[in-house]
Amino acid sequence: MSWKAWWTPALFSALAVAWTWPAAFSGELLGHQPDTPGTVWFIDAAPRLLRSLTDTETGWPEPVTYTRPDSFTLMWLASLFAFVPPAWIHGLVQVVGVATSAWAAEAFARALGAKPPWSLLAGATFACCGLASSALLEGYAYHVLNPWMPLLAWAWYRATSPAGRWQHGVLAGLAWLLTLFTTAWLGIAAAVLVVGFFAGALWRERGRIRWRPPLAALATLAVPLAIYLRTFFSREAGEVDTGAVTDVLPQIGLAAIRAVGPIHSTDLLGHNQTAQVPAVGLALLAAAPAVLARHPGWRVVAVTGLGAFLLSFWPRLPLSELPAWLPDTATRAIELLYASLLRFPARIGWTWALCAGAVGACVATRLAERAPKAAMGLWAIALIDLFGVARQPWRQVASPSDVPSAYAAQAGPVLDLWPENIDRAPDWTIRTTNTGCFYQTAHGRPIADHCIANLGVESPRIRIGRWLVSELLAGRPAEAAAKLGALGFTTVALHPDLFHAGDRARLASALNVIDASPTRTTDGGETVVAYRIPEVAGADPAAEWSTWAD
Amino acid sequence: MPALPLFALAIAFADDPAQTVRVEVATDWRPQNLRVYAETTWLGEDRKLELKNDGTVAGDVAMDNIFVGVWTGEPVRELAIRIVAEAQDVPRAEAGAGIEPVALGEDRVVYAMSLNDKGKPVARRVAAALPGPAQEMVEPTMIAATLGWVALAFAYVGWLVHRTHPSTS
Repeated sequence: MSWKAWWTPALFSALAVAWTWPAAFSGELLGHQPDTPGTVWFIDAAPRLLRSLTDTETGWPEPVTYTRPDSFTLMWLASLFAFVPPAWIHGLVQVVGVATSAWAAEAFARALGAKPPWSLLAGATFACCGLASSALLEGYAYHVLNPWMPLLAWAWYRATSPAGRWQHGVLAGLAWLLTLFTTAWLGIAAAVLVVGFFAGALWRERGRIRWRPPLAALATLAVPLAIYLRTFFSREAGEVDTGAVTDVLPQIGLAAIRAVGPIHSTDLLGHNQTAQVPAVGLALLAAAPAVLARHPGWRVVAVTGLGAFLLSFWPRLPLSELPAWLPDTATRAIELLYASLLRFPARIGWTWALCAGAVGACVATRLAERAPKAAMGLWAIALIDLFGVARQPWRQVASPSDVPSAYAAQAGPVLDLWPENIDRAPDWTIRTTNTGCFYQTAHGRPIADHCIANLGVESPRIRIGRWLVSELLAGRPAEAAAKLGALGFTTVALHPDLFHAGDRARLASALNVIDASPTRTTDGGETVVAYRIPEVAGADPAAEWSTWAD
Repeated sequence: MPALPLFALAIAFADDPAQTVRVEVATDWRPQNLRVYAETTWLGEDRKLELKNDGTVAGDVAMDNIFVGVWTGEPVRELAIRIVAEAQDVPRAEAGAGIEPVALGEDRVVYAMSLNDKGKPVARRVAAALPGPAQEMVEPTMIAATLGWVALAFAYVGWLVHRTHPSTS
């Protein structure tokens, strides 16, 4: 039976629908973590962010410039499909992302010598790896929209081979840019692949490689990359909290344990962990030296993958112990680099998943050529890996995509009032921020949150909210109302369910002095009480905000 | 007289009328030997409560820079609470004070303490979120099962290699 070309995308589409279920048919918010509502906000805001990264609808009373949007690729896509509800786009990105990424990885494996149907193992290993599972469960689905990295692998592999042409270099440059524009994390992972393949070619050809294709790649990406980096670092971050740093070796050990799989797929507070590469991929890669001994090219791919695997254990270094002779600017640059780009080194594991899957598919092809029936067990292992070990899609959860209607009772800028988390875990702030931003997709009113994190910078919502709580608890509601009016707010939206009963009563009592008949609703998944703030004649919110010195 | 045992039973099984007020102070200021106290007058009785950061108070996490203490007593309508801090080389100082209406039963008041621009500790009243869900512990059986699964996959592929490439195995 000959393999028909259309079977591959058809099978991967079916796999994607099943693995991301119910994303293809659900308009709910899918994901355990607060990133989901944030991503949905980003999809909704994409058309206006595409016009200008300076947003007047968030960060009230001061427009905020988002120089580090989640994903330029998602921004373009979401703008193109702006007529589709954002929660639906979020779901469809999951399905289309897994299917196209798997198809592209399968094509790379075929270029390495794998044959269908065994080349499909590469697609499943890459598109359904642990990082993909985490991305879907944690709510940043655009990470799986990544056919670009396999395309880069193919083009760059050809570009650095003796048969490489300048067109391969151009294609590799474009693919790397698309990877970077999909998310900076993938761009970093792809950079490891680029360096690995290039070093492999230098070693293989003993330094006599054709320079035209790499130079073509460099020429393709130089200008866009320069613009990207300039934008990325154009905004000064605030105080970067590097946090407590444990010893380096235990960190590496923990990362290794997480990466190879002894921790069963777990959904912890704040993170959803799955082994990076399915067991079948690991086992096939381990067999490569025995099975592919005479097969050309696999070593560079395997070594690059292993290099990425080791780099994904990168520990957080104790920055406070940097040498004192380093100038302040250098220390600051290192801190920013860590905080901006190296917070999640595990994501370099995408390169590991791609390379391990491609080499594993080549191994499976060779094994199946000699023992076709005996090799059929690999499919059983792969299926158990995908659906049994990763427990996809059963681990996925949904939350309501409705928004409390209390926001619709009034118009103008709104200040959400949530309780604070007094420990140092950032998840609570991210959750309240992203929920408030998601609500904006329905009510459309200006809010005080920064909907894309600007490292070390507190949003006006947090600063004003903290001050407001203090004022209300101190029994100064009239003064608070005057100040809020001067800042241009027309509504305080209290989220009372989440406060301790005592504080809830105190805050409601104080806010009732400002508005004795607030709008209270219990739809959209929580209670929201909207208090009207009296308008202040001649208010100049920007001028008032400028008096809130840091 | 026959009603006496019933009366005693009713008292024994009645809801505990005690009032608890949990005081928490989260601090960014971490001098050596920091001690934090909450002081109040509870129904005429002056009370001084040392807040702990060593995990000895129920629900507290040791050394997380959140000092916790719990008052119990007869139901009270309001409390005048003072937060006092002292440390090695830092004299005792009042960091914050205020009158708190108290919710019947269990109540909680939370402060965030830091140094102001004059180097004086200031405890600011905050409305704190309730604790989030506890982090699950990964069960050893799950770890063993996953390790076993990886080993099984390796054994199967090893058997395939042995069968198809006998010279290399």
